[in-house]
Amino acid sequence: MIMDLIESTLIRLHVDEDGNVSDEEEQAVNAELGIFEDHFSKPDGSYGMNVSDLELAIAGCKEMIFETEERSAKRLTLVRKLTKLRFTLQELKDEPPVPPGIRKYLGHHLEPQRPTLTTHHVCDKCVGMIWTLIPGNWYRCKFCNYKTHHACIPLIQRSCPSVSKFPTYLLQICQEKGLSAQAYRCGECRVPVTLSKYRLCDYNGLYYCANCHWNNLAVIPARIVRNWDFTPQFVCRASKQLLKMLQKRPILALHALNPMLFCYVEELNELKRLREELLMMKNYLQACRVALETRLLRILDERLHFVDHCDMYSVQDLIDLKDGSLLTWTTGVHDLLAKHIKEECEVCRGQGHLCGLCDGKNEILYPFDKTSSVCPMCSAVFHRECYMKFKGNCARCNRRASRQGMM
Amino acid sequence: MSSRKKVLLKVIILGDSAVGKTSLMNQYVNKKFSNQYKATIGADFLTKEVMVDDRLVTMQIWDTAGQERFQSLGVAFYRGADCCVLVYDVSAPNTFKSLESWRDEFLIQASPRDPDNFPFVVIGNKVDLENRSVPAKRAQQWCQQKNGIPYFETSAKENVNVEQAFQTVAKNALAQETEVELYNEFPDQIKLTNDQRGGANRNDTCNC
Repeated sequence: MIMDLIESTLIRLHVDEDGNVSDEEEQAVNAELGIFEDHFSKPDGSYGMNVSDLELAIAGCKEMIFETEERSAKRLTLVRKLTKLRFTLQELKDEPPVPPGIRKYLGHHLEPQRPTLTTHHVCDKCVGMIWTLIPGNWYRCKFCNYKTHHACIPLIQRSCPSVSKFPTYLLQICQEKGLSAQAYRCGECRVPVTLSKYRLCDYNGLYYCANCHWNNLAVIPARIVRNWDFTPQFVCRASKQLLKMLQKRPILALHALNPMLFCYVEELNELKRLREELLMMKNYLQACRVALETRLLRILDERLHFVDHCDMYSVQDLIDLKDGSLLTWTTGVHDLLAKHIKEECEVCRGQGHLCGLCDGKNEILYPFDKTSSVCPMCSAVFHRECYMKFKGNCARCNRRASRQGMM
Repeated sequence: MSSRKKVLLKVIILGDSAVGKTSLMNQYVNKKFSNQYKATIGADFLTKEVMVDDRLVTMQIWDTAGQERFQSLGVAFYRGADCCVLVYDVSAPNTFKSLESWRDEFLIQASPRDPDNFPFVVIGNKVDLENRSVPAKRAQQWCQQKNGIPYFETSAKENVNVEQAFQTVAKNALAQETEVELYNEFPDQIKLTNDQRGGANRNDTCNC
């Protein structure tokens, strides 16, 4: 019966143009139901209520709907509220269960830490020392490494950077707007900062108090992308945690962001070539029984994005490229895979190409060879010299075209 | 002399997608058949030892991808083939029509010594199906035109004629192999074409 009621009212809702419910009305309903919406805990989006609270509120809401007059504005508001509550309840139920012991707060997954003797940590919330000897005393977020006292958890203001599903970097170099734009308050905790005691975060260009900015150093993605500059800069705690969390994620489409970088940075160009060749090798290894059985592609586990595409980079990639280790590693992987395809594996070798434009019939070519060219239409491979000589005229494409014509 | 030597016969199976190339090979080598279609990615081979005319030979049967989107890999394995099996589906006329281009493409890429007499075998697969649409006569006619290619009608599902077809493949491949061996037995071949070109070059560059 209640469902019929809701449906009839909902149908009316669609027709009614003035169906919008004002905030005050909703708040009045909330007050009557004895619930509150915690707008500050947006990332969790759960009204600050658990399942039983919500079920209680839903039951209350139903009763109130029966009590109101049919087709009244009040009923309309209540029905809206009811659907909203049900939706929230469903969302809450659909979420994967949080493992015991873990506290969820503002997107953080705070795990209780074991007592340790040696190291001491500083609480990200109160900036006080954490006495790590006491069991159950402190927690750490498994995504962003936020460390806090047990007692400080309800006071946390900074939401976890893991909340954003598709995180991106700010790619403008430190755009300072000035203290006045922040009303002389800290960019995070809104504590008033005086002119002498502010600290600037080089990542987002905001000013912070000493509690929210510990003078941590971090490499700034914008500075790398624009200037190939890896000098660590001072950043606030929030930026530090964000940058650290994203460091290994391949989210920089470097060529689209700054194509000129590839002209000036020799090793970047070299890495791009190696990655393109790895992608071509992938075609072979995915079709090869032996490679699949021996899980040859697993040697790329460390950098899985190298298997998927060749134009996305993580900040860690670029740091390692700068210090030379990435190029050594990639060359090693490249050579190992090439050795499998060209020498060790009969199946892979069988799937090499023969240049259809010259007499060198017994030389097997591979698309990832430096001396070969690939037809963009049919992926046939030729000697680069032959392909140039024939001005990019692909023999296989021509044969196909003539056959089509004959049909 | 050559009979004591271990012989490896390389056989390539070609044809449009879903005509039953993999099924034929699996039926012949493993005696297994699955109703589920799974597109072959790239190429792969299985080996089987068979007796042909009292000789033990190893057949290396290369199964290929019929789908065009999996043809980005090369076909260097065509080179050195001893026999090529062209497969079509008797219930799908288009697959029969494309035999011509499969044969052409094979001859171009494999470039055998004697393209006109290279051993092919044509197999019309799926005769167990009721909706047959390519008459056997038409296929036989085509085979006759191409220098009398042996023609078989098989069912990989019911294991009809598969053994016979591959026996012919092995036999013809072995004949081809022996021919190559004979040809190779002459030591120090005189390569006229290369020498001529070399001479011409020398004339071009030398002033005397």
